[in-house]
This record gives sequence, structure tokens and C-alpha cells, in this order.
Amino acid sequence: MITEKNGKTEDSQSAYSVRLEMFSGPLDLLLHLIKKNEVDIYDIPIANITEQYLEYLDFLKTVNLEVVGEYMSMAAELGYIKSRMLLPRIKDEDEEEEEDPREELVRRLLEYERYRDAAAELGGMEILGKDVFLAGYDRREMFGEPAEETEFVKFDLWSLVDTFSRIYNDNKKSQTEDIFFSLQTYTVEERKNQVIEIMRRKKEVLFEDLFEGDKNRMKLVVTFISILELLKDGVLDVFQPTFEEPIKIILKQ
Amino acid sequence: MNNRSPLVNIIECLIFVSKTPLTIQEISDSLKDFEKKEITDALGELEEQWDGMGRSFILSNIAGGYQFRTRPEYSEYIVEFNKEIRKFRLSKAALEVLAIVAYKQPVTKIEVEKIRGVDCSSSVSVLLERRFIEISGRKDVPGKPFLYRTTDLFLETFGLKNIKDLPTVKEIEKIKEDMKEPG
Repeated sequence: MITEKNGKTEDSQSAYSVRLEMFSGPLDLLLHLIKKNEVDIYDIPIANITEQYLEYLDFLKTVNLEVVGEYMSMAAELGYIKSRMLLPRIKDEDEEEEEDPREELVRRLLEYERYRDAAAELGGMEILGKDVFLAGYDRREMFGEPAEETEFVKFDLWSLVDTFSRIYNDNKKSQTEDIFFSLQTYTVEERKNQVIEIMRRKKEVLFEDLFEGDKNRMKLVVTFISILELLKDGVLDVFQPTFEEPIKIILKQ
Repeated sequence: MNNRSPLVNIIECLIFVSKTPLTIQEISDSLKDFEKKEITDALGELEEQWDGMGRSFILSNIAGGYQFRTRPEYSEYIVEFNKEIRKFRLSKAALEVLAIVAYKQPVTKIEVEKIRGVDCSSSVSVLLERRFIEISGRKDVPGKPFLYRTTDLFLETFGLKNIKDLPTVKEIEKIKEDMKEPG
């Protein structure tokens, strides 16, 4: 169950596999799928959503994003709900209403969504040391030495995965290499520097344009992971005016 | 400004030199010659004056006390001026954990994890390290897990008067509605 290490640990794994800690977990992914499919949260088409959820997990694994246990247990839970939906419902003698096998999941989704939105609210407040300051403000005095922490990205990162999976799958025909490669650290490092270079020149680019020169899937994945890491480091920011518009990447000041 | 009472000026300079938000209690503890009522009135007057002055910093009511803070529109100049300032950073996961603790405190890690559906150990330790949350005791259930609550530093950092000053769930829902509006 424990997958997030202490935040600052840099084990050899992370050299070629980005942990999913930037993403907020299986409930967040489900909310994303519900929104994307424009379905009613109180009437989730379980079979359809489960299928998409599993496709997501497969894709994440393909591009070396580490799918952790919690995502797998949610998959199992969805499978269970799906099977219960197929069974004829047994009406309880004492109770008038039939129990919907999705009920518990919906309750959890709604509860999580509330706190997720509250967190976004908090992140948008006038924060000391970011938006407002005191006389003689010394960050270290107040908070100690800054810990290694990832950036708060006010963006549905799953949309980034959506777009990337489209780019990745469009690239199918030119695919010749074995997809089970292992990415070398320097490649991601190199690509990160190139991306920064591009961003310094252009300040703002479409997310997909960053993949322009990538002729094969390995290169696509390297670019994708580089972008994710730069987002995590707070070098880049991601921005999408509306759900339908293309995603933009901007250089943070 | 000329007809300011001496008390308003005294309180102003105390707030000016205090490192942490200065509470009414702290002021009245140190100004024994004045009634609490006088102090409260003077504080109100001071707050009003600063608000109307249109200066680059204002008197804010934070974590139960008063503190001078710069207005947010000048942050880029301050960061540029003081390169030592490392910008505030907190991951989405840590912020979610913080929100859950803030609204549900006191709360155990397991309860937080139930809501988020993922392990939260790393976020909890980051938040403890930053002193945004602290251990408030142990829950009387098997295993006696730690209970967590938010700290004054949390209120100070997020500019909240007190924990009730958090946006209510209703307000959050309202914001969501507004976001759905086109444009």
C-alpha cells in the first residue's frame, strides 16, 4: 500500500518511471472519466467507465508511469460493482428501496470531490510567502529549510494523459522499436533541457507541439516524462482555457 | 491622522514590532492602564484607517491576531528584490490532505486516506515538517492512532482569521457553479 516514499527519496526507479503522486489517485481518475464522458455521477454507466479506467491503467503502465496498488484495488472494486449490476436485484423484504451497488462508490466520489475542491480553494488563497509578505520576511525562519516538494498544479493532469495517449496512439504506424525499453536517465535529463530551451524562446506552446520532433514512441514517452517532471519541479505550468481547447504549456517566472 | 488617540499609535507600534500576529489579549496584557474595551475600539479604528489609506501594506486580522502584510499585487517585486525567498510550494496531494485535516480535525491518517483513496504518509510527514499540522492526541480506538489538527502557522500562511474562516462547503459549491458558467 505504501508507495509514496518520503517525497525526497530519489531511488533508481524514479530515473525512468515517474510515480503517480502528481496525480491524486483512483477517485480523482474516476471523477475525470465521469466529467469527460459527461455522465451523471448518480447514474454512472459502470461497464463503460470500468473499461475506460482499465484502458487508462494499461496506458499508464505502457508509458512507464508506475501504477500503484490503490489503482488496482479500485479496478477490482469496479469489477465487483459491475458484476453485481448484472445480477438480478434481490428485493429486501423489510426495505422498500433496492440498494444500488454503486451507492457507496458515489458517496465516496462526492465526498472526495468536496475536499479536492476545498484544496483547490486553499491553494488559491493569498498565501504568505507567495502572495503576501511580512516586514523582514524570512521564509526559513518561519518554515525551516524548504523541503523537496512537488508543485501544486491547478489542472486536471488526466487531461494531459488523454492528449498524450492520443498523440502516442496516432504514432502507431511509425512504430518499429520495442516498446519495452528502459529509459536512460540522461535521455530524460537531456530532453528536459531541450524543453526548457524551447520554452525560454517561446514562453508558451501547445502541449502537442512539444512532441513535434519525436519520431518514435520512445521519444514521445521521454518527452512526456520530461514535461511531467518539469511540471512537478514547478518550472512549467499547464493551462487549458476550456475543456475543449488545446492544452498549453507555459514557462513559469 | 492628527486627531489619532495615543492608544491607536501605541497599538500600531506594538503590531509593527511583533513577529507573530498580535492578539487583543497580548495587547491588553502589556497595556495594563487601558480597559480591554478601549483597546478593542482603538484596534477597530486602526484597522479602518489602514484599510482606507491605500498603502502597499495593510493591517490583516490573522490567526486571531493583527499583523501588517503587503498587498498581493506587489508579490512579484518582493520576490525579485529578495532572491532568498523560495516560493511557497505544496503538492496537490499535500494540499488535499491539508484541506481534509482542516475541515475534519481532529482526524487520523487512516480517516484521511479513506477519503482520498490513497496512501497519505508522505503528505502527512511533509505537512508535519512544515508545521501546518500537528498531533493533537490519540484516538481511542484499537491501535490508538494519532489525531491531527491544523496549527496557527496554517492560519497565518493561508491568511485565515480562525478555522471557521475556511471557505464553507457551500461556498465551494458556489464556486464550482460559477466555474461552469461559460466565459
